[in-house]
Amino acid sequence: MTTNTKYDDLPSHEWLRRMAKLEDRCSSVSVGGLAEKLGMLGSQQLPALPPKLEAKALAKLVEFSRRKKRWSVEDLASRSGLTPAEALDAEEGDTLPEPRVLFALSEVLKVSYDKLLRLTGYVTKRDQTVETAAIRFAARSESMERLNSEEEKALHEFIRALAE
Amino acid sequence: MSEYPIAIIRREDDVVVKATLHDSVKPEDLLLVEEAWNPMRFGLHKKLLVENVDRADWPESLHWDWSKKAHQLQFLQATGFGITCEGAWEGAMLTLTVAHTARLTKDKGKPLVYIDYIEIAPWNWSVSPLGLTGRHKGIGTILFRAAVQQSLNEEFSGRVGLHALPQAITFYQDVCGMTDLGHDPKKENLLYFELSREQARKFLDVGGAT
Repeated sequence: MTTNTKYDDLPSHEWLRRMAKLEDRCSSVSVGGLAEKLGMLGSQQLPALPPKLEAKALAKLVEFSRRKKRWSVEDLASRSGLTPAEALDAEEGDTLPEPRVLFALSEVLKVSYDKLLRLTGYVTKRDQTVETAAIRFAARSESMERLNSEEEKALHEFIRALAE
Repeated sequence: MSEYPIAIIRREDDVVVKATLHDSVKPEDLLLVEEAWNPMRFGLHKKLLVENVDRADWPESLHWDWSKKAHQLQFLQATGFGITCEGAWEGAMLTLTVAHTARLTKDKGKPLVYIDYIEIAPWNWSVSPLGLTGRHKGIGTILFRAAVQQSLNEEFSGRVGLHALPQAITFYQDVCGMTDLGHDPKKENLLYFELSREQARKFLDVGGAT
């Protein structure tokens, strides 16, 4: 015999409230069937950073480091061997700099060149520590004339992650 | 696709609000739903990192990226359900009515509805480490109820099966009243849960294992 159960067979509000209260005590309702089938289970890696965020993290690093040292963009360029245009592009973060530019920046900012390559995706082996540090750094406050204490702290933590 | 009037609860003032249950949502429509949810997922991801929340406390499905799986989704033999409220997708579910059979002894081998995917919109998540409590509640329960009703429609007597992620074990065991049948080595050792016909009746009548 067919049971003609329709989806508009609504529960009472009392039922709904009681169940919603119970559901509220739970962290999640997620299941793993489809995710396992599509190979998404067990991949606890971070999703790839959107290109904008990688470039933004790098741009902020360059800008904050320069401001901390009280350098102009020309100062940064001359000390790193880059052209002023290259230094400016690195700070704007619209595109990822070439490896040659990254190398020059790593030298003058005293951070790991290898880690800058991984951050920007030139080296494919992903470094979760660097990505985590980059997202955290990029998510912090926008720049001002002088670095405030929060920006200094963010810069210091990111540089430490890149230097390790 | 058919639409049915349902209700969910708005958390802010605990008011029951009107919503809509959609059936026959296509698996590839999942991408549209997830596209709507992605900005908030990413925002949560950043907040969790900035606040240095322990990874063990992150929502387990946070990092899933369905856009990379579009070409596989379209071949799924699945039925999709979704809940909208004021035009926004509040939850979605994909179920299978073939290829899965009951493992509980009493109805062993008989067909059941298998929940392959069920998700609630990120703005409805309660993320305690961030002090977030979500906009609506009751969505998971309503979707699960739809799966039980589908099982009855299919003459499967209300039987439902699924593999729960660890953070969802309490929901399926204590709220939905399902039976824990142990870790399944064929599904990355996730716990497999099943709802019997009796448990289905109880769920619909009084709800859960309370």
